Amino acid sequence: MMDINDDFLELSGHKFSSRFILGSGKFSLSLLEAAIKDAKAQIVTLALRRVNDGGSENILDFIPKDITILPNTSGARNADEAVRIAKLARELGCGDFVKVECIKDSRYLLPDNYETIKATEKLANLGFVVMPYMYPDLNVARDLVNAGAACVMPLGAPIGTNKGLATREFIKILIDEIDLPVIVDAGIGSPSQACEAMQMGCAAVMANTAIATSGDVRAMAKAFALSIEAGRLAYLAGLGEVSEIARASSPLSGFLE
Amino acid sequence: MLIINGKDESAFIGKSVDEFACQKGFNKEYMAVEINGEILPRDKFDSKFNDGDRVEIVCFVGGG
Amino acid sequence: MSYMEGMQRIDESLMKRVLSLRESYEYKRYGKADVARALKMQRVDIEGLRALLSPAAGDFLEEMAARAQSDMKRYFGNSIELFTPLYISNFCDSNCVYCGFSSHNKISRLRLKIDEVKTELENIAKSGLKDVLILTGESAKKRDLSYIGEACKEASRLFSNVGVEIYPLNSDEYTYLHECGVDYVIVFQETYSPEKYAQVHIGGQKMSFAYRFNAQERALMGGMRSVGFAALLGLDDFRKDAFATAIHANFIQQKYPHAEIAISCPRLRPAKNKSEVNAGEVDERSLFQVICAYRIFLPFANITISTRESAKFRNGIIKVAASKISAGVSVGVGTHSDAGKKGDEQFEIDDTRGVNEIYTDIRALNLQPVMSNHIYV
Repeated sequence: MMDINDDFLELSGHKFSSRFILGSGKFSLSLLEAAIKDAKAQIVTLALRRVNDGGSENILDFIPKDITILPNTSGARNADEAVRIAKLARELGCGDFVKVECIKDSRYLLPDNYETIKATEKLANLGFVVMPYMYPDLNVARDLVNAGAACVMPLGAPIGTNKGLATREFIKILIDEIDLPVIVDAGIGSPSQACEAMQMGCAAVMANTAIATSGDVRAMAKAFALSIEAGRLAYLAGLGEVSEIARASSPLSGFLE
Repeated sequence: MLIINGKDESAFIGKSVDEFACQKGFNKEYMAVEINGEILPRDKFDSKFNDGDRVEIVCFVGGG
Repeated sequence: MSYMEGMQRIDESLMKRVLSLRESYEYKRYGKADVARALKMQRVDIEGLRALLSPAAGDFLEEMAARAQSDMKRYFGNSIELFTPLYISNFCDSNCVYCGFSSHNKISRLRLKIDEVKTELENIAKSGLKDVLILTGESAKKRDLSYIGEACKEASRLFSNVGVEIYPLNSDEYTYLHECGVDYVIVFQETYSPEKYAQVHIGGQKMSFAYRFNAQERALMGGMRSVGFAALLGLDDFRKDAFATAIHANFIQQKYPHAEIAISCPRLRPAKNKSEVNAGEVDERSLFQVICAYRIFLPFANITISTRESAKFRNGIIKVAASKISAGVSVGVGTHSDAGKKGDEQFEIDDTRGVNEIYTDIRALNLQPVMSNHIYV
């Protein structure tokens, strides 16, 4: 029996017992601390903005000290901009984690895989723990591994759509072929979808919009946490029921001595 | 001409990052500064802006 | 046995991974439920492979065959590739206790001259075959490589697809052979048990387990398109060796995604003066199970079935799991031109059908014989 208490998400040697990465956008700061607790999250994503656009309250005041901050590079359109943003984020003194987002397209917000690989390579060389958001393409995932990524973060569906695992078959391929954690990021709209991702063998789920736009942020954060844990447990337990296949004859193996 | 976060802040030429943050009411603890594409380390916030500098000063906000 | 002088060393982490997984494989732990679960997986993982190679899976041969057949259809349709092996020399410096070519075995030795190689190749080409595999013993003298290279140049003039099954080389030597027109390299590890390996390989450069293990990787580093793997089933615990072969091939494919992967499935056969070696240990049903497991775990891989097996078995297995079959085979030296003049065979073959006969038989099974599937680049 696999004990879920011995089961950790590992990113470049950092261990986490929670497999829920919580996005902090689109909802009020006053809810953030409670939502993190309800989500049992240990990793929370943040973005960078110019100080005069940031409002007067500082978001770090709402995040418990033992939480790992995962700055994203949102706003970057190419690798060079992503590297600039990541360096600024690291200067804020919250560790070496960075979620690379290179997005050229403002309509669908789809990641640019080519720029993402370049940014990942540069940032890994600078000692960052790089978590690249990507479109699930096996060749790209392999390049990201070689570039020094800590995981790959394929999208389930376009950001903010809550459409779930539209890219299921391709994410499965990444899970089968890539030795790093595969973390679904974007498009997960309900706890059942998060659960399905975990049952498939994803290492973690990142969610933001589904929680931020729900009727009750705290309750939804908790629902996600429970479903992610349930999905993980099901994956570890090994799905699959035994069905007795009727055997009329042996057309394929009957020739054997 | 001194551009900070996309705005003309020429009044601060010759002034330090510290002075700028103080004047604007920004908390230095939560800021990161880039001057002409280079990160300015936190312990150098006393250095002065020059004419022609392009400066970015950022902080964390909510994001996914 | 470690490296000898002149042997190129490359990173051994992949080898360590294969050996430790082989070590921890306890097939008695798997039951019917594990086998059934494996057969339901969309993509069978290492744990599933372990179940499919376990004794428990012996009761699921028909289900495994059905699964293997559908996997093969998805990747290969109805096509079956044909090739023939050509032995150009049976001189050997290595002493392997199970092999007819062993340097200590008193047999008739022969090394074809290049013009004789040419004649042999021309005679094989007349049959319409387009894929030839050049074989030698494990004789690793410097002059041998240029001789093999010349033979391969001749082969690539007449054949679309040229492979070699010779002693392991360094990657720069593989590059040289690739320039001579060679496209694929086959190296049998024989057994993945280092202990057993040391017991049966008691002389010559073949004694180096690690150098042989990494041959496929060096071949890919040298620019080869395709690499082949095999354990000689029956030499050691065949379940563990089949398991190691499949994961070795799998890890290489993951590391070199562009590579074409091929697996052979030889069982020990009687050889001249080696009557104490028999293939009793791996019966046909077990061999069938192994080949189906290979196919299910590596649905994209070429699986080759040799003339060591009977025509009946070969006809049965190409319907289910094997995608490549040898035809018009002689495992002696020089026999394609002069039946009277020959070096002794490496082992005894069972299926003696000629190319035309095999071609016709494949058609009769509603399959499509394919002479060449590749373009050399």
